[in-house]
Amino acid sequence: MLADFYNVLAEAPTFAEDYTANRAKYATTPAALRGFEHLQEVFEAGYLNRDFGVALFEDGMRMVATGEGAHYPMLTFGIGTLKQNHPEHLDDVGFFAQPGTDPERNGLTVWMPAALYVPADTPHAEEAVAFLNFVASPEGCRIMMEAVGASGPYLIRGCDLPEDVPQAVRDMMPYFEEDGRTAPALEFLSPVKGPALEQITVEVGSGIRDAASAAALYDQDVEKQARQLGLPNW
Amino acid sequence: MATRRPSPYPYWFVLPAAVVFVTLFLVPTVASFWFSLTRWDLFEAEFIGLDNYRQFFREPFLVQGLVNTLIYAVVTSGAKSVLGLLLAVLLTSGIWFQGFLRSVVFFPVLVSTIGVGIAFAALMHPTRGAINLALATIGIEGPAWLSDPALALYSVALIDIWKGVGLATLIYIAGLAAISPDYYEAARIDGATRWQQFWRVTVPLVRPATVTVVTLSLIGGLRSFDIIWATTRGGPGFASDVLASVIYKQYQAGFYGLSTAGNVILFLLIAAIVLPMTWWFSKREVDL
Repeated sequence: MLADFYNVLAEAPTFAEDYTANRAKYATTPAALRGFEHLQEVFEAGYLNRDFGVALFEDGMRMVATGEGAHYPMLTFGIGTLKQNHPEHLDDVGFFAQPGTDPERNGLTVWMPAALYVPADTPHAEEAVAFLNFVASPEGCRIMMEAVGASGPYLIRGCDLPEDVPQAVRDMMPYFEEDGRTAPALEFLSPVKGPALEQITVEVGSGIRDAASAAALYDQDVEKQARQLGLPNW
Repeated sequence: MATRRPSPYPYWFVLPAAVVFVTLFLVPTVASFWFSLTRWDLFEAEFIGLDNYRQFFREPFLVQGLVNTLIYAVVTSGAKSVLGLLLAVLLTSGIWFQGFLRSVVFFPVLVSTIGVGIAFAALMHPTRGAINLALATIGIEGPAWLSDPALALYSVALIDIWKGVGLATLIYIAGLAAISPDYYEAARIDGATRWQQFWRVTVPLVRPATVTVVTLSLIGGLRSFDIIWATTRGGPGFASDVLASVIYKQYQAGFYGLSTAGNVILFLLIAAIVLPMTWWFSKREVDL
């Protein structure tokens, strides 16, 4: 549902601003509602493994690695787990962006690299900024890549991926090479994200609740978050 | 009305206890009522009146959480009382290794709740868990204990009963020991069967223990959280959410004022159920 956001933006380019300003809703924006509908379709089509209700992240990675399962909707950060638990199957697992309804416009929803912060009133601002500069330098980037492995391209100029990246990362690269084939996930464009999204999507994906009522419920859930943040217009 | 007698202790004697009471109990209680009326991020609190309560009652998962809380409390408390009494009768009947068997029943009470939860989550796994593998050998396909929304709450209640019945048994054993053997002797002389002795002598006379067991396990059931969190996290979806897990998730999301309001509601709910119940029990006791 979150990974469908490229397709939401393709159809409703101002959704993020409208959503933050309390003008657009999941339940009433067809492009946004589709993410919930896909979850319902997957359940109704019977594509899920029998014990999906208790399958955890590592089970999902195991199943795509060993061929027990065909698809697992997951970000490429899962590659780290794949590398650790099933190194022999690292190149057996590929990656593609979640398809939308329009075959002409296919693109990837992207989660941004982690950010580092420094408290504004720290007595050691200089040292902290120097460290941040190091982390964001090609050298710091290379050290991190060696330690944890790459799960996608970096935002640091001069920090290129090596030739021997896992297959899933290689599959991901074409999206970044063309303009307009990536979009950030909603959480990088809007501060509004409800705390019960996980439970609501589990309900839809388990056939407990239908997509339309889930979207409406989620719209209600985010109200708390927006009010707690003191956003205008909520 | 009883008039208050002057305390035999001077003020300085009760002062340390009073300081502890005020700083650790009275102040937090009053503060929680205040913070439940604010939008609070732990640093700044903005007064918003009763908005948190309004929001909490509008919470769509709350109604299900409330119903689940009551079901959970009644099921666990009822089962613990009935099973506890039966086990206590068994374990006071002079069977072999009685002392050892009593500690076996009590043992789960001592084990970490989170540990029990994790262990049962593995035992109750629908395809790889020991319970369903055992059922499969006799040709029964076991259910998805913790991931079937219709079943999850009861599965967790079952774990809770297993874990807590030892305490109920212990209280009942003490209760049974307090019944004078004379009653049983008199009943036997009058020709009462074992069945009649159980219903006409044991059950009425073990009543103080029943009151304790029901009250304790009902309060425990109403505020139950750890075992639910360790097994289902309130899921799948909201199927096994109880009041305490709903509140916890609001804390997790950073809605401190809202979750404090939830705690005040939980406190009022427990008081509203337990106070009349204890009053009713103590009234009946006078009647006896």
